[in-house]
Amino acid sequence: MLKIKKLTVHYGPLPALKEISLEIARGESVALLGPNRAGKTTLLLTLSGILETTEGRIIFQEEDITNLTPHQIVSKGLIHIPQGRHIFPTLSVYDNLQLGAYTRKKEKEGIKKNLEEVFLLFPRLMERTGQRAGTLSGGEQQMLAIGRAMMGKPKLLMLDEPSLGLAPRFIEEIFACLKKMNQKGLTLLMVEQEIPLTLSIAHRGYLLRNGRLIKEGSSSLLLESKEIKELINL
Amino acid sequence: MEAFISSTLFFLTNDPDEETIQLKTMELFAPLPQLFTSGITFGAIYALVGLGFVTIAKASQMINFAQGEFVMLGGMLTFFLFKEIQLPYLLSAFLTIPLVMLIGCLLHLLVIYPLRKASLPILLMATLGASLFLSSASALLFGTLPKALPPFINRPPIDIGPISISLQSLWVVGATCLVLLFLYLLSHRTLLGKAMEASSTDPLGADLSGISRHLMIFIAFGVSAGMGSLAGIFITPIFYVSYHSGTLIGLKGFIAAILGGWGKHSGAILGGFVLGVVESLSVAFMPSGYKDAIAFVVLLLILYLKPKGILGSPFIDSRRW
Repeated sequence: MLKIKKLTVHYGPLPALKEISLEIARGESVALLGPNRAGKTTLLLTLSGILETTEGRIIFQEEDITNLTPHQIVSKGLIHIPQGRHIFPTLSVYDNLQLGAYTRKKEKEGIKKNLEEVFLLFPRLMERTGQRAGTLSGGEQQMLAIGRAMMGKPKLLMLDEPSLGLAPRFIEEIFACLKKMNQKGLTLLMVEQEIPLTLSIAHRGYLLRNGRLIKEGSSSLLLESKEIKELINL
Repeated sequence: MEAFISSTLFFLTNDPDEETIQLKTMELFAPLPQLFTSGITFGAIYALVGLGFVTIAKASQMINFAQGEFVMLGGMLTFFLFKEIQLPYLLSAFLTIPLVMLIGCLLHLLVIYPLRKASLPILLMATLGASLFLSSASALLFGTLPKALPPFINRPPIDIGPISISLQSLWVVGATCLVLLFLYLLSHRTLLGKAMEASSTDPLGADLSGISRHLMIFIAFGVSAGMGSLAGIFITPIFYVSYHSGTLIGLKGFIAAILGGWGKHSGAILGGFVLGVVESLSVAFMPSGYKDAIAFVVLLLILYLKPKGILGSPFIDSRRW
């Protein structure tokens, strides 16, 4: 579904990613792990068109999407939930969700059906449709961020640290949701610090360090590996 | 104001020569109702210009210092179409609005969009440059002489007691109300308006939701240019328009938007009226040459005392102050 070929990205003169190649198949759930500043967030931002690539190709569903604009990439179904959630604090929960479907705003029926699905997934959001998104709790904001992304009908959903700053019970709730969504056929690419929890819902994982992929393998294999154990104990 | 009245009253009760003092205070207060009314007209204009600033700020957190030039161009182009090309007055006015909107869109395409990766201060300087370009270009194209347009309807002013209200002032206030209604519907009732607000409050979130931020800013420039031109068309019959008149009115509109609460439609409206009335009333107590300085004193005071403005700004973080 997603193929990255020898991707190199620079932040100014500094290389942030060096010749990254990876592949994600339809329906897979893949974890992207690594210490801070390894380039995980950079990779996601490049995939969603926020950062420009220096070299390499990104192929999504047999289509070259290298250096397309963010809204073009979103409309192809590659949707990214950024670190820190980035919901629209001054707008209501309902408006936030509507804006998630902005690239397909003409499909009125589809959006309505989508909205019901999101409310089914997160009943808590339904209770708060009229509330300003900025007044939600951290966990609710993360639910809203996922709900907003779901409104865009993702084929591949990228999440950047969805657990950041959340209470443990919210983390469990959100990961249960992600697992459910993956079982329904949504492909996932997750960047996380909660390594055991992430690997429990991921099929495979990649380990990134200093802008390079240094290891890949199935979740169980990674959990046993020396590098991951070091990372967990860090 | 209160202190002033009480000190005057103190004089009234203590001074033996009561009658002359009384006459003097009468003289002082007599023009106030009239000044207040004209302050409302000024206020409506400032509000209209301030709304133009807010529209762009709502889409991009940017300050467009060329906003005043849209007002100038509104008056200038209407004058040009009406007097030089000799189109009917109404038609010239209606043609001017899309023309200025086009200029606003071009300003975005030629100046703002190429600088999309630059930081805010650079964009600010770019709009300042665009403002100078527009006013100098219109001096070259239309000449440096001030121009006046006839009022929309040629009737004597209405007298209510001691106050006389010109019909054109009513037009100006009416236009402000109409623009406010339009903006209210745009930002609260349409997805486009919400997308514009979203792209201002969280640019990254907007990008990742598939909202094309540049398109939003482009539209905001078009809309606010249209609003500026409307202000220009409505005020040129009251004041003349000349190639440099955009600068001051732009700054006053900007002050109005800050005074009421930067980034809020209601703030720009309230700020506009407060500024207009304060400025106008100041004429009663101070030489009228200081009138323009009053606006800037008001700006400094609000920035010292309440930087978020009267109604509070959603964009200015109070913790920073």
